[in-house]
Amino acid sequence: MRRKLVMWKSERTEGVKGATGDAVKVRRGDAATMRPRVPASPRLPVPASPRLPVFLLLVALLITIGCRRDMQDQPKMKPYRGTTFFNDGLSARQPIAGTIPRGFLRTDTEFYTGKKSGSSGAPQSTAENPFADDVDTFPFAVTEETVKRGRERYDIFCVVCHGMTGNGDGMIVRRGFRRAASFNDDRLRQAPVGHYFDAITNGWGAMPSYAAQIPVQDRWAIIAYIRALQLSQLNPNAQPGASPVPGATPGPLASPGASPAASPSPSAGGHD
Amino acid sequence: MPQIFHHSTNALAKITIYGAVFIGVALLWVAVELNRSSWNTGQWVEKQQPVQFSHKHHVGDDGIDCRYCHTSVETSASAGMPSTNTCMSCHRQIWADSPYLEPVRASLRDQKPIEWIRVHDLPDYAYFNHSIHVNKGVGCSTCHGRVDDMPIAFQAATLQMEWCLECHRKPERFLRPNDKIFDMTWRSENKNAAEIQQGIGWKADYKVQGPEVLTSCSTCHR
Repeated sequence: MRRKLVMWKSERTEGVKGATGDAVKVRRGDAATMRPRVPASPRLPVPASPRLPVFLLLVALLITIGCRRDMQDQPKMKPYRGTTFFNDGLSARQPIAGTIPRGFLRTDTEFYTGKKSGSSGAPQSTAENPFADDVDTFPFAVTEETVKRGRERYDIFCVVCHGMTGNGDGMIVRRGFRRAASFNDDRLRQAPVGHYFDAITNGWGAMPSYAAQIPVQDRWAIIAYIRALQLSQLNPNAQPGASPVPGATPGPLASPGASPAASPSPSAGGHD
Repeated sequence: MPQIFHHSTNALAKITIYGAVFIGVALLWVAVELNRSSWNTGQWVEKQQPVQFSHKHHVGDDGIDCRYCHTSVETSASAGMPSTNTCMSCHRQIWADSPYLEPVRASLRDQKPIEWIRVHDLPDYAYFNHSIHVNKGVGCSTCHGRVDDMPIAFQAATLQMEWCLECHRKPERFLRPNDKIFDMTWRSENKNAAEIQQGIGWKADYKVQGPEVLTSCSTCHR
């Protein structure tokens, strides 16, 4: 009875200690020192239970769970993930030259190029009329939302050089970039909206193309905001009669559907 | 038959058994803490890049908007990395011959993109979309920290699921007005009752889904 009790305790302790994996040796030592005192019996020695090694193996497996990262790093393509499969290292393929994705036909020349014709037969720019082929009205109805969107986009992309008021004194200019054009001088006040679109799309002077950063609709929105900026920066003491902002009639901002209150128009801003 | 063990061994055995429980708990705690530590998550670890680009300078000193470079953040899953041309917009004239910028010039010369080191690497089994977050009141700095104060970019959050769920369970704690999304100085969290109340208002404005949708498995693991 006593012997059985001691053996039970011994096994039990070993099992518990095995769970944490330490001090097992000590207990085994106890068992070893204990055994010689116990009279040999056909039931001893007890065959080692397979449970302990299996348990330890499971614990070891648990520990190694973090070692494989197949789920974290799956062999699939995500943005900016390169590949060794293609020679150029890009995981995405370029469309075949001349392919036009659905919805990208861009037949609206004025909207997508800011040019009246955009073809080679277009009127050439001359000294008197440097912007002969540029459209001089917005190719869509300018609303308050357009101007607000334009302001947001202007503050992201243009303000760095052209400055908050459009005077061409943005932070990058202060850091040493060539002085950006001021929207508040006569040349640009008179320039048609198509010229601005051309400059944003293809660059102008030291200004690079922003076509990759600014979608077409946003470019027009920015131009609408530039017109608003120009009106806001008008000198109230300017000579009477001098047409402040693009004097042409209808003005570049005059567009069907634009409410006078919502969109700045030459008539609204022409108080001088 | 003499006692094999002295009487005091009983106490020793009890202490050992109780001790085992404490050791077990302690080991578990250590494992959990290690799992959350930056050693495992990569949090706070600055990643050296091929170009010594400083967000602190470009965002903090120059005041350039996040979207000037990360143009697609409002419209797609990926925030977008600037092309070499974007760098060169300014650096063709500013710091044009700095040795720091040689990798950028080389990239433009060879027409080979700069291979930036990814700072935020979500596991592939987690779906994440930038546009839905910035359009529904989650600001850049909520997840990315004060980028305008990082000379070298690092991961500000653990990116662990418990961190995602913190907001997906209670979005009102972190939402902000939609004209402050790209504002680095906006408060990091809605803490007091008044701010939480504002958060609940924004949550309604943005029509943020309830927790039953936001914490559904397939919302992120799809």
